[in-house]
Amino acid sequence: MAELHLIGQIIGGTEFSEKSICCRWQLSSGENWRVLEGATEGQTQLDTPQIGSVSSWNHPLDVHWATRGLQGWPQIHLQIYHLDDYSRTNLIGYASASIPTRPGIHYIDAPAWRPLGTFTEELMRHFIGGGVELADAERIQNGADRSRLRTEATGRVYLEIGLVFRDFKKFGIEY
Amino acid sequence: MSSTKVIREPNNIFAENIKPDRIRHVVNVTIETAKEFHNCNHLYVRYVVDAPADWVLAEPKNLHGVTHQSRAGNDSSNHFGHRFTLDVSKSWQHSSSSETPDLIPTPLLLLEVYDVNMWNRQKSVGYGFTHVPLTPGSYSIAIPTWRPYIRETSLQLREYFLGLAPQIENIKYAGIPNDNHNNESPSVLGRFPFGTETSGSVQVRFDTMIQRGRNVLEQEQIRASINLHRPSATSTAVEQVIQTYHRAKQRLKAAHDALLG
Repeated sequence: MAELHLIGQIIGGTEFSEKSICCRWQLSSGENWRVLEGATEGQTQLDTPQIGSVSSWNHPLDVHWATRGLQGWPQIHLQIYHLDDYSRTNLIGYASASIPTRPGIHYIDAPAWRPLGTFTEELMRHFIGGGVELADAERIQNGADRSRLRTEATGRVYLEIGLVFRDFKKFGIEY
Repeated sequence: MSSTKVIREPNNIFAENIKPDRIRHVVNVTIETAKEFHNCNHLYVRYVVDAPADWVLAEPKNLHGVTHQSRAGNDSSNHFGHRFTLDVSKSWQHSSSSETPDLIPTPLLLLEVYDVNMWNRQKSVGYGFTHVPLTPGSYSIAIPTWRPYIRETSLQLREYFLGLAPQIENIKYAGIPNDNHNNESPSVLGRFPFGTETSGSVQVRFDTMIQRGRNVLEQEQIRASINLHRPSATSTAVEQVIQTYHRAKQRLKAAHDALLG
C-alpha cells in the first residue's frame, strides 16, 4: 500500500465581511484510503482580525493515510462560522480544496461561498442573523449535483499543506 | 493527544494495478473561481471534457457537469470550488523511431459560463477551453472566455431587455471541432467571419499523476538512458538492437506463458 503524509496548517481566512470567525474542517477521502494516524476533523479557535481582514487560525494538520489506489484523492472541507455579539453562531461559508498530488509544500486558497435563501430569508438574516445552511454539507461538498444551489461568494481560506509520499513509485505512479 | 496504534500491512497490496502496456492519467480538476464577468448576477459553469476516441475513461459520467450558481461577493469574483476527477487510460504504442515521439492529442476541458437573471432566464456569457495537462504536476490556469458579438441594434435590444443572446449550438466549437481530428488530411481551422467579444476568466487548477504499466516503464528507462548522450547514428542503431531484443524477449515470454497456461 502506498502512504501519504499531510503536515500543514489552516493559516486563516480573509475577506470575510464579519469580524470574529472560526472554522470547522474535515478531511475526506475515498474508499481506497485508510487513516493510519491523525485526526481528520476539528474546529479552530475564534479569531478577530485586527489589521485588515486577515484572521489567523494557524490550526495544525497532521494526518497519515494508507491507500490502495488513486481514486478518491483526499479533499479538505471547511465550514466557516461567525460568532456575533449576542453569542449566536451564523454560517458564513463553505469551502473545499483538493489536496495536491505532488510532494512538497503547497499554499492553497480555498474560495468560500454561502447558500442564499429567498428574499424573506435574506431579510431576516440581515436583521436577526441565522440564514440558510445545507442540510447535508458533506454530500454536497463531496460532489453531488449542485446545479440548483444558489450561493453567494464570501471570502477565502488559506492553507499551507506539506506532503510526503511513500511507495507510490513501486506501483508505477509518477507525480 | 491520544496515541493511535499504527497498523502495518504488507506493502504489495494495491487495488489499482495497471496492465503492462497501458498508461493511465489521473487528473483532479478544480474549478475554483470566475471573475470579471461584468453585469452578471448569478453565474454557473457548465463543463465538458472532450477526449479523443482512443482514450478509455474509468467514470464516463465525470466528463460533463455543472457547478452551483454563485453571486459575486466582496472581491467581485464568483466562488465555486468544484472538484471532479478524470481517470483516463490509453494503450501505449511504442514507435520505432525514438527521435520524435508521436504527438498525442490531449483531452480538452471546454467551459460554458451561464448567467441566471432575476426572471430565472439563463444566458450564456462566456465560452472557453484549455488542454488538460497530462504531465504530472500542479497547474493553475486562468482560462479567458469570449462570447458571440451582436452587431445589429435590434438584436442588442433583445439581449438587453429580454436576455436573449445567441448561443453556440455545440460546445465543442469552443475547442477543436470534430472534423479536425483525423490526421489524414488535417484542415486549417478557420473561424474568420465569426465575431466575438471578450468576457471574463475562469480559474481552474489541475493536479495530474501518471501510472505506467511495466512495459511502458522499461521503454521509458531505455529511452532516458540513451538520450543522456547526444543521439548519433551509433546510439540509434544500438537502441534499435535493444528494442528488437526486448520484443523478442516479450514474444518468448508470451509463448512460454501460452505453453504453461
